[in-house]
Amino acid sequence: MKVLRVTAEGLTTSFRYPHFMLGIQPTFEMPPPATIYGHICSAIGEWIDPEEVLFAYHFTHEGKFDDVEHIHVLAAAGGKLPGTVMPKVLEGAVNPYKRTIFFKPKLVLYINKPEWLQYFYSPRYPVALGRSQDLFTYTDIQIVDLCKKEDAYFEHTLAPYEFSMKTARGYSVLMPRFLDYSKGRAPTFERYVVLNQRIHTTDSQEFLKVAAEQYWVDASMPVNKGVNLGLLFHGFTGGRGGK
Amino acid sequence: MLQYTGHPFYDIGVATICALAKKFKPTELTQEDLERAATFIEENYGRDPLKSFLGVAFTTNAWFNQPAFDKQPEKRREYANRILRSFSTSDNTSEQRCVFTGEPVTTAAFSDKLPPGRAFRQHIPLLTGEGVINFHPWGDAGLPVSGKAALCLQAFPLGCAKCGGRLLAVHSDNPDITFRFAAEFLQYNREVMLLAQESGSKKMPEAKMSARTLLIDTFLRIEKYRQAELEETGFVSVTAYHLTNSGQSNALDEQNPPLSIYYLPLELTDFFKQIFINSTYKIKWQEIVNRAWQHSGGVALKKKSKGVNEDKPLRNFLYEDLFKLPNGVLAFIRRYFLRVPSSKGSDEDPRLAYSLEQEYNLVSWEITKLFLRKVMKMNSERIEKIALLGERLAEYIRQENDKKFFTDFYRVNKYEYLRNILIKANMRNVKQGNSLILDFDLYLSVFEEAEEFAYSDWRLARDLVLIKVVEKLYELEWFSKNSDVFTNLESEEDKEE
Repeated sequence: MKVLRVTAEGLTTSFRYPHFMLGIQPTFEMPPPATIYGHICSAIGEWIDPEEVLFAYHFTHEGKFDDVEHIHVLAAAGGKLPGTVMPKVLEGAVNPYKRTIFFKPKLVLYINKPEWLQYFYSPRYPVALGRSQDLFTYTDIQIVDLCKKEDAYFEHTLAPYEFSMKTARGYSVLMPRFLDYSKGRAPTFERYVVLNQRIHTTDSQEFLKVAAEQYWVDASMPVNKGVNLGLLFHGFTGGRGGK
Repeated sequence: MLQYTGHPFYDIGVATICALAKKFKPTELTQEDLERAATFIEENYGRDPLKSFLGVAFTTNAWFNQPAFDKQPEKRREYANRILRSFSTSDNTSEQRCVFTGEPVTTAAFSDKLPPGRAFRQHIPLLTGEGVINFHPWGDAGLPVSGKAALCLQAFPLGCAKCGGRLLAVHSDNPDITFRFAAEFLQYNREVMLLAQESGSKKMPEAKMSARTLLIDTFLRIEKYRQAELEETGFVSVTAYHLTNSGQSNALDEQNPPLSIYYLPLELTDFFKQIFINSTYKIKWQEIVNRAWQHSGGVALKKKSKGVNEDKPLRNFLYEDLFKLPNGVLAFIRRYFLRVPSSKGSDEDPRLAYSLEQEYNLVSWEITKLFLRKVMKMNSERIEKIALLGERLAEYIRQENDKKFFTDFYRVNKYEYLRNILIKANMRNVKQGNSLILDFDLYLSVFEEAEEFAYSDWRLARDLVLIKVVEKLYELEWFSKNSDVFTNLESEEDKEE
């Protein structure tokens, strides 16, 4: 299968848990699918149809730290701005927030749309992953030909939840999968396994082969213990792993 | 009626309502069960000790805490009805969907100033305050919720433990684990709530343990039960949220942050599962755990003697240190598996009294091996090589009665000295007409190849070999004949720790 492989690097990023809004904002260890969807759309310049898009990724960083931010906590307001006749729309106060941030993040993103190559060479909006200040640079964009193999290694990626039946590595997490902009950004969530370590399907002690299965691998990435880097593709809609 | 969704606070609320109804599955719940849960909440949140305590969950602006309602109980009742009993009212015409259940939002507005079905910090922990537009799509303030979700999130703190003045909420991808945690915490909360009500106390007692210790201790008890019941015990991952939603909380407070998240990843829960499966592990592991409990004397007693009657939560140092892994793995293995004492610590720290001389019977290569394989992900080949070297060195020590080698190997604090010690032992063994203890390949694979370890360290390899040596020498009853080997065993390294 021919896919688009985009390598993006930045200085900082973070992926806030959506319902923890107060004072401390921890980060998911991996970018949620909803973030990836937004990122792809920003390069293309429009809301793409999520139905046919599949993605996989490899996400790393050089460290994690907490930063204190000043956030202007705002609410709607009436009246006039002090000393003017201008209407006041919002008012609020500056609050300190502690946010967990990744240092020097690197995303290698695989998309099943090789025809989108040009969009990433010339992205429509500033390249960011996470919030608007988390600017990224595309350091490598190419079309790669993936092949299927029975064995692979997986690391620093998001696995479908079923993976927790096969390996005792990582932890499960509920993440925003897709925000429906046609319905006021209504979120859908999905459970995934964060694979923050390397696992080999060849190691029977760490990977349970329940049935003959084949995985997409990127043969152009470094080989480890005789196997290639495996890729676990996800969709934004439909059943797990997309349509 | 209800179902688990994967959202931690909501799921814990569901589990709590199940536990209140004494039903195992949310699908078995009836309208009457929800009604009874609502009644329980209404009757108990409005009075102490929950009234005072649940400010940590819903702030002092919550319906049961609002001073404005104190003189208008009918208003409080009306508000309670809106938030607790709107589970059968939903606005099917609205496009708004509950973020937790995907069902239509409730038609009930949780305040006269709010649109229907919008929740804020006083309804769901850790959301923004009322009307705040930050973090909401298009600045449209509030989180849209269904009536069922509103009730579940109100029930949520009952299924949490009170630790350090905060809520400890435990969620798992396995609903059975989520349910059992919630049920256990609910039972404790109800007991202490009744005791407090009877004695007229306003204070909700704290859990008997610190948050992280309570998390692991409870998990292990649940797993033990599940094993005994032969329940399906696949891989499970557990996440705990230690939180406060109090208006007094300070995001910059390092000691008491508004939110801490603790993971029990799949590899750790799998390690625990293997411990339970194997009875030979279980007994020794339990002994190691037992000797890691904080001494109840020390600071707590000093405080009591000063008239401060404060029960400090009990900590288990081993449990607490598990959360630091993989950082500190060297110290962890040295401390708990090799019984090397801490050189610094308070009176309460049991690790000050660890002693290889007194506890060599607790040194277990099998537990260490399981830990290396499951938790630290060391490859099997390297583990086997370490075991082989340990086996050979133990045999050499026994055969030559080389106490000096044992002491030197234990105390060595420079890599080049380690090499020299091993070379000398190797030479001596060969001179005695025996085969090599280790060759170049074995040396490399034990001390130099550490692909899986983020923190490769020759000391770690030495300690692991030593664990095998100690276990083997214990089996050979060598220590009982050579107890003087333990004198002056403390190394410079131990003093520096």
